[in-house]
Amino acid sequence: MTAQTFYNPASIAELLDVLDKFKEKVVIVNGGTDVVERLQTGRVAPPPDAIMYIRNVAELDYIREENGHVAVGGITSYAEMLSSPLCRQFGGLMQALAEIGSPPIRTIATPAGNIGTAAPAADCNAALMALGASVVLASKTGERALSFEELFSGPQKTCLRRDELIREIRIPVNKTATSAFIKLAKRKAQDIAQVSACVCLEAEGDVCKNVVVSLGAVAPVTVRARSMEALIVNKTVDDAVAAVRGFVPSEASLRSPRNKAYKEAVIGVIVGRAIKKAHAETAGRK
Amino acid sequence: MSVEVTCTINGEQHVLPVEPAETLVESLRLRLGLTGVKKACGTGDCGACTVLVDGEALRSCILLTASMQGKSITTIEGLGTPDNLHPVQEAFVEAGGIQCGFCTPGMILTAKAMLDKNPRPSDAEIMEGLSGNLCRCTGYVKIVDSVHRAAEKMAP
Repeated sequence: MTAQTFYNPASIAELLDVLDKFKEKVVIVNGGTDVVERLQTGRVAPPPDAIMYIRNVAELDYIREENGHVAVGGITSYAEMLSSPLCRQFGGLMQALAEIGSPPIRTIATPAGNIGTAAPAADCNAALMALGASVVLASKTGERALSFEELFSGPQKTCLRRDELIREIRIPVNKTATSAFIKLAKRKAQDIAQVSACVCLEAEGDVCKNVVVSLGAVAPVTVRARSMEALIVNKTVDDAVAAVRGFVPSEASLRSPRNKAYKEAVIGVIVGRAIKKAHAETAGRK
Repeated sequence: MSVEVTCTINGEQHVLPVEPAETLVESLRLRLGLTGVKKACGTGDCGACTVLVDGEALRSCILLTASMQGKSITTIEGLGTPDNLHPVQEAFVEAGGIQCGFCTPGMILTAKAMLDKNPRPSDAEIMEGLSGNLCRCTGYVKIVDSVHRAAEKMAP
């Protein structure tokens, strides 16, 4: 517990001033469900001089549809997304959100916080990657957008600069695609994924036309499994499910001998289930 | 350098000088002696430290006290009194939803927040609502019964 100063900004401008002043010496507390525990156990590096609590920045709390995407503000919680009619169109996202923690965690935890934490098994990050989401980063020098594929650089590491804030998450609206999320975990409640997959699918009848596959907990970062997508495109759902079964995508990078064989064996099964589930939604839509 | 936080705790206004990284469970237990708030896992997983913040059930072990400026916090001590239990407390006593009692404050406060939003939850909704509260004694059957009983008591 080394932090000496506490900031409680009320506006983005004020927030960015503090970030600019302290850079790596300030730790941002959003929902706090990960970072507060790490603060208590001295696992925030480098030890921060200041803590900045950002949940009173009301202008970061929104979900709205604009310019072909749904925009989710930087302090918007999972619970707000789960009850948002705008988010309901993203089946895979809703399924992932429902798997996160428990209701009291979802009340306060945020997708932006989870992106900052960059856990390789994070449920929401896998869903957002499959849906083609991007994040808008703000700093005193301006804004830039990063796709989910560009975002993560290692376990608990992102490409964010230390003066940058995750201001907004943008999820493109795609009326012709459906998505599904499947999580394999030991317990039903409050567990961390052993393998998770999100599939975003555009199908013509039973044939998979466009597909994005993202995987959680199979590499140091959430990954997009293009090698698997190539096996799925232009196949019928049944053929695609058969093709991915037992396939270990080159994007997976499993090193722990404790679970490598098991995870490699189940990746294809989980992706297959997600393909079927996403396709069932396509059928349901017609 | 301490931060001065003004908040309402169990209906009373408090001005607390706290450390920036101090958690709410520490402030409630150590500064105010509200030991009905239990600290167990310290990671937000077990639910024993649950308190109500502006009516929402939250984990006080992963909340910074410094962020509670202007908030209204209710602990189990503020829900009812020994002579005048809250209906959720009464229901847990009557249905035997308590064994060792360690998880009970968190269970009751989580159940209260759930019932305020959903006055007649199904079994599945209760189990989902309490999925973040761990009990190592009861096996949950009597806890689910207790929440149903509380719902009946609180029905208008």
